[in-house]
Amino acid sequence: MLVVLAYRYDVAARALVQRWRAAGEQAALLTCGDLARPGWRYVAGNPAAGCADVDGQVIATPAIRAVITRMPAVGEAELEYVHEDDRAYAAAEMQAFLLAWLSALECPVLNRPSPSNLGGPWWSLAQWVQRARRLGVAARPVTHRAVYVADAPPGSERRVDASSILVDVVGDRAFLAGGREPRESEAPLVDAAVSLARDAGVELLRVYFEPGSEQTPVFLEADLWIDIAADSVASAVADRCRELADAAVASRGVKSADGAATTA
Amino acid sequence: MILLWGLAGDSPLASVRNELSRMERTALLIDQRAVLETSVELSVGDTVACTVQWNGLRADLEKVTAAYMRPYDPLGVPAVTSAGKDSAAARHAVAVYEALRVWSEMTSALVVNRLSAMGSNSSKPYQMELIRAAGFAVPETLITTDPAAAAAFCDRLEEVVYKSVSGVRSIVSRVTAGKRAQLDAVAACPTQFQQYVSGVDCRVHVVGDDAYVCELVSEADDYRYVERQGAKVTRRQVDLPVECLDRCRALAAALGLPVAGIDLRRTPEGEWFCFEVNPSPAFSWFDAPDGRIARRIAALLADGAWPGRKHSGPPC
Repeated sequence: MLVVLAYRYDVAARALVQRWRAAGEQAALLTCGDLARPGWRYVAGNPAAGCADVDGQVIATPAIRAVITRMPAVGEAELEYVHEDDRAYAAAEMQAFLLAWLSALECPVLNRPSPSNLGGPWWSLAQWVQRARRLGVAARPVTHRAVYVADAPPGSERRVDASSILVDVVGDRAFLAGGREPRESEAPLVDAAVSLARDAGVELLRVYFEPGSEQTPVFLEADLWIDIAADSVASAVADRCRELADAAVASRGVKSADGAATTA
Repeated sequence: MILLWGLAGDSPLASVRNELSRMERTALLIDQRAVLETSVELSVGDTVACTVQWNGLRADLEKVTAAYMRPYDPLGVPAVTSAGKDSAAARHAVAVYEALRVWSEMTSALVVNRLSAMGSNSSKPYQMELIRAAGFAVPETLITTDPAAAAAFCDRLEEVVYKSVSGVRSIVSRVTAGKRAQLDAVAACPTQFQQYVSGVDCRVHVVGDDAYVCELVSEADDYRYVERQGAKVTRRQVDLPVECLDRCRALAAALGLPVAGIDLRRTPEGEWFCFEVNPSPAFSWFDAPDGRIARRIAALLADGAWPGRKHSGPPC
């Protein structure tokens, strides 16, 4: 089964699950509400002995082929059914549980969580800019100023707008806005975006570049949430899950065989 | 220059500051209480530059060789709390916190400890797998929403404790007969049950290559809350077996922590269990009267070097 971990109002995640099901894939949406169902068992040090309670079904952990993470953190807004006084604590507990559970899964998790973000590394824009430059990708410099003005309204610098070029990375593949396959002339964008994703150790990554920088990409921003609504991207994500899941199973098989040989 | 970040009155920070002063080392304190008078500018291009200004002073953080980080919740500073969480003061406090956090992640200076390295403590079962990988025994653990599974775990192990899954501090408590009757409540949220391990508690503070061990004897399930449980705790400085100390050092290095507070328990059979690694230990309560832990942290900062850095240099 493919599991998509998402907020309950993530329409794209829900649609992705429906699309995969329509294509004959076993898929389910996992939301925070599922963590308040009585089928979860996580055995520390032995994840294969555990169970998950997803979308009304209790699934043995080894039956999960891959997980797509679509949320950085458990938000209190997801836990309206919890008493207001306990909501922050419940959110912290669920977040901590999901970090441990996702990290221990032997199947592919796209993307693997970090302690500060269930969807991958928690890097600021400044850190992404430094990463890009170290990889040889040009990047627009960034400056953060924190100066206290008593009645200052909220505001933030906008680096990305409708004219920016976006590239969604799925494994080794990349797509432009709307899930369009890149043209040959856009190869430098793909190379830059995929190299950033590899450097970050993530399978799914959105990267924004300056408009007009197709030949010599200039990095603007990156985030961990790609557009899964496009058919091409949804298919690529499913393909990548299957590819990684098969590789993980094969790897475990090799390890088992090695173990058997050693025992023999 | 050595940077200290946190609250001036925070005991560990104050004791390290005193030691640095005794060593006649220049230490710059960015006091969170003065956050509304503090400005920060962080620029990342070909280089990383960060300047901090307050009360007419200006510091260029490129000159920092080591930093001791003990920041508290930026919204918890009195001036910010009173202004409200949606206020300009709150936004500013968060912006200052973020700028300094990001700088600390990117600088090549020795940072004790990077906030990213502290993250493993936010999830006890997540951190437990890192502890297990370091070679320590860890208690058998089940996290479940299934009351029947919880009951079966308690039946099998006889003596079981429950504790929070997250870093939100909760008191470790035994599953008593009264609590057994309330196990249906676990269906509302994953709950952590753990084999009770009897023995003597030890807090090990790893500082660079050194380790300081404090033994704690108490009848309480959780020595941190002895008064609430009507118990007492006694402390004394002790030695640990070399291999156990080596494991502590390796664990701190694996977690990228130049300074760490490691909670161990020695069973009557002589086995060492590890429960938790505190990445920002409030060591003062455990320190010997001569303040050796504070002095060693100050020396580490003054050296600006930590052998574990080769394993855990700046992530960016």
